[in-house]
Amino acid sequence: MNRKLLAAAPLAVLGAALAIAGTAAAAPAKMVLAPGTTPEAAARSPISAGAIVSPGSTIFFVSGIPGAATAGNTEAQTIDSLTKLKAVLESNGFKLSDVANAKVFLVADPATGKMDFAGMNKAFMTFFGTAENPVKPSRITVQIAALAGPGSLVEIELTAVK
Amino acid sequence: MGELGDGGMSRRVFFERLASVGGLGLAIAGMEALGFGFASAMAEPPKLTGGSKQTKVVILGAGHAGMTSAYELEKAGYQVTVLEPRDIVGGRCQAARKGVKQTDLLGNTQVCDFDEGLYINLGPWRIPYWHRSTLHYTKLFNVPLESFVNDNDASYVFMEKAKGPLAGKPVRKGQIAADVRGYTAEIVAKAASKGNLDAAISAEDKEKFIAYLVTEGRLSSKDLRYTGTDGRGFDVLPGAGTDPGPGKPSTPFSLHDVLDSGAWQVLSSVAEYDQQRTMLQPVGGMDQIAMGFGRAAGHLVRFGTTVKKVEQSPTGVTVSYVDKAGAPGTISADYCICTIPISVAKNIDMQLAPATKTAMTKVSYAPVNKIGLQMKRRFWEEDHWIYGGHIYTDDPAISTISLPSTGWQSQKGVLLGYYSFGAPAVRLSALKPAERAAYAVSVGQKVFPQYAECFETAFSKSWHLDEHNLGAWAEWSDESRATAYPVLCQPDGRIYFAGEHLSYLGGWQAGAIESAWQQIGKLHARVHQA
Repeated sequence: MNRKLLAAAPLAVLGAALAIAGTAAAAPAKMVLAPGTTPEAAARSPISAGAIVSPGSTIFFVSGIPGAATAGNTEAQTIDSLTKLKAVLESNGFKLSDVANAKVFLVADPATGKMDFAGMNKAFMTFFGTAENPVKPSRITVQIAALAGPGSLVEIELTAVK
Repeated sequence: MGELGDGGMSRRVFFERLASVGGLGLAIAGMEALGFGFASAMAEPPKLTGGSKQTKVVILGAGHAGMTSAYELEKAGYQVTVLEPRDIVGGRCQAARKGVKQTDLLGNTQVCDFDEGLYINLGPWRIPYWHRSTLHYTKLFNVPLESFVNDNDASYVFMEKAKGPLAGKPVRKGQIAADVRGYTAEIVAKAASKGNLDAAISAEDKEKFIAYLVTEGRLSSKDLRYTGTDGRGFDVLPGAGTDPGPGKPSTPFSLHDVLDSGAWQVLSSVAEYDQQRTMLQPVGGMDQIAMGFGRAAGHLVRFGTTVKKVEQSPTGVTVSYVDKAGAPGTISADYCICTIPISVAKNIDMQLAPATKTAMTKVSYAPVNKIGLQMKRRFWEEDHWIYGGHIYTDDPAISTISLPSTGWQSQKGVLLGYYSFGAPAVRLSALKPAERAAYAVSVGQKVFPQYAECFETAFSKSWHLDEHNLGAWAEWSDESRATAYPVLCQPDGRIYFAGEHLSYLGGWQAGAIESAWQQIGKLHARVHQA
């Protein structure tokens, strides 16, 4: 056997070993908090600081669902949106506790001229960080000029990982 | 026997004359002058000098009162026998550890399955620094002590039956304390500063008073406002570099939310005198004290022996019992010291004066529950940063959850899942042990999300369901303290009573020990009078 073949063989073995090591088990995202976050601050917060996805997981990007204008105020529309999103997750084999990220788009409440962040949070915290679902996703919340559907005050987009 | 007419005044007559002139206090002083002091000093046992005159004493019960009496009397030369229905000394001074087996009056048998080295104190669990009598024996019997954390500002208050945003949420006690004291100090300081309190506080004191409030409430000295303080904690801890750097201080709750929460109910300037921020406990279980008594005087005890009848005459006592094998027997002695809890003793056939028997009916005993829950991980330390102390709840079936003051940072730990009293305790104890544990875990789960997942095994104790106690400690009303208590503090003929029930340290080991010291002091004085 000449030297080239001898050199190639260990590399091939090494490559195979790396390929085996790279195959990880599917798992939900790992939620992280900012370093030094106290337990009481974490308990109060509706969200995590971030979510780390491990290799081999399955990711489900769920299209945004607005709250129905008929549902009422921001809090009620948030419940409406998350309820519908929960149904989509479940019909695709995911759970609320798999949600790693949420993007929340709020429109100014006509009564105050400002987004109702507190109302959205109140509803949000009945879906995440509860006894039933202790997981808190990472999240961004922004106020935007308008949503597609007239009268909608909130639209939420979720990303689930398992 | 010093008799009247022997030419000199007998000691007994001397004391009787002293008592009639100056009351019991003078008689005691007279006895102390002659070296027969009662144990009015509570730090040391009475000095039982001058021998025992070959006196025999039978002691009923091998709890602390019985064993204190037995140990001290034997040292003084008395012939002592202790009758005890259990197989161990200690009475209520018990710990549950691996292999401990108990059956309660409802027929529930539990065998403790805690890991080797883990335990829960089922009865007494903390020693105040001023209980010199208990500490006398821990020192004498070489029982090593460690700190018991009795107050931890990092611990949680969990009030479900409250209003507002803090209701039903675990809140750090230190945050409630900082905020309610801060706002209170602010209100009072501002009022004082404006002159609104001039009727209540002198001009001379006003400046110092405001200075006190600034310190107490962590107020800004410039505008007397409370806007939080780093002592109430952080949202992000300070650390190195610029991140986290100074961290992020926590935001005070509003006064309204704190008041709504009811969490302030666990705060006060100082606690009751028998509670301190740190107390003492023996290393390895409170029953180390019982074991100390066992090493010192266990040879005097007949275990598995149940008292059936106590008779007395002017010259002695006879106790009838059933022994370990079930065979009846009797033992005679000059005196008897009965340390059996009154709850049980009142149902024993004892030859006593009607006034004594009536007095015994006036004492009730407290229903009390404790449960030890072994957790596979010390999540209260690792995830919640709480090292010892109590979690306060407004669930009366739970009352407090207490964290171990030992084994810091070890893998597992046993915590006290409830310590409850009265009717709620009775209701919970009606459940089977597994259901009691399930309830305890369900409440703990609301405070600590890791509780149920980490729970491994439990051991519960309901003192009102222990056939030898029928309750955790005696409870006296004002009326029964005035009428029945003094009766039982005096001997009935040749029968003396001793125990925590005959002290003002009810439910404490020191009450039992000091009651025993007093009674053996009186007995010894009487032996020497005769």
